[in-house]
Amino acid sequence: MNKNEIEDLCIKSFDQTLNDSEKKILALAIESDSELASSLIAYKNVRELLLRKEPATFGPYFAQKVITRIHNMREELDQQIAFFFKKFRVVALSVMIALLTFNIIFSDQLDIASVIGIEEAATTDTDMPEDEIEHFDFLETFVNN
Amino acid sequence: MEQSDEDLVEKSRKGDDLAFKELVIRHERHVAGVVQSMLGVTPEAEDVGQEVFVRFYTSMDKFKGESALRTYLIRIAINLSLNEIKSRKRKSSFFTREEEGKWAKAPEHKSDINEIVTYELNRLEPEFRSVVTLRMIEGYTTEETSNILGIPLGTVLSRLSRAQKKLKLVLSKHLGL
Repeated sequence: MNKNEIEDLCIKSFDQTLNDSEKKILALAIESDSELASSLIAYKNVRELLLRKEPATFGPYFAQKVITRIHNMREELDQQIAFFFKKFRVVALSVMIALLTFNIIFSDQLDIASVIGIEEAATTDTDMPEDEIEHFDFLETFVNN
Repeated sequence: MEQSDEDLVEKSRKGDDLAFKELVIRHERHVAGVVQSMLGVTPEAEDVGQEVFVRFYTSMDKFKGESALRTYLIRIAINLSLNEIKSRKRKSSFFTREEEGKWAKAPEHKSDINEIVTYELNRLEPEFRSVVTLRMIEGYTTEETSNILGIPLGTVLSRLSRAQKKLKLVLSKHLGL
């Protein structure tokens, strides 16, 4: 193994378990090469320096700030919904009045159903073609009998 | 008796804000550790930290509990931190060198170890920084790091190796390690 490969092995030893032959190679290399030994110590020091010693924090009232942000978000959403309907309130009301006026003017009867545009219940099946509808002639049936 | 994360999530889903607050208190240090390692101890880091929990709150129904809540939050924290780094880069391309220095300030006093380490960490590419943050600073295992970042174990190990070589080189120069 060349020096670079030994150095990689050295770094690997911090994150993975080395197998027996790798351990032997590394131990021999460190014993015979003082530069490599000091390099291993330097890597160890870097890792010790980086490892967090104290728990991190965002400072006081962090959780409360998050809850406040969520509340504000909810309020903002409610306001947006209210604003959306407020914006179209006048338009919707005008359309409703126009439709009612139209129905009052053009309907024959002035009952509530025709004013608000409800159609009368259908008495015949309009989907059926005209020639397929059987007409019941009461007089003819009576005479035949 | 302390309630489990699952119980608190269930209560939060039903609108219990106190339960959600308890979750925030419980996981603040994990999220703070990751975000501050990625972005430094800055006001933006706290903002990103809040955003992590807000994102979790709004997507709580998608959380099925397949991974631990801590892993789930850390994944959001890493993604939002990477977005913040990208946004800083975009902003810095419009700023002068002086303004840019606000985010990448070289330590004035060479004796301040923490400042030197933070400075050198900030100079690492984001994909290296996220691996170093999780494995070397926060102490997650290589498997957990791979799982959180959604990258193969081999990639984690090779990034760790390259990042360590860089850090050893610069930190040895500054601190004589």
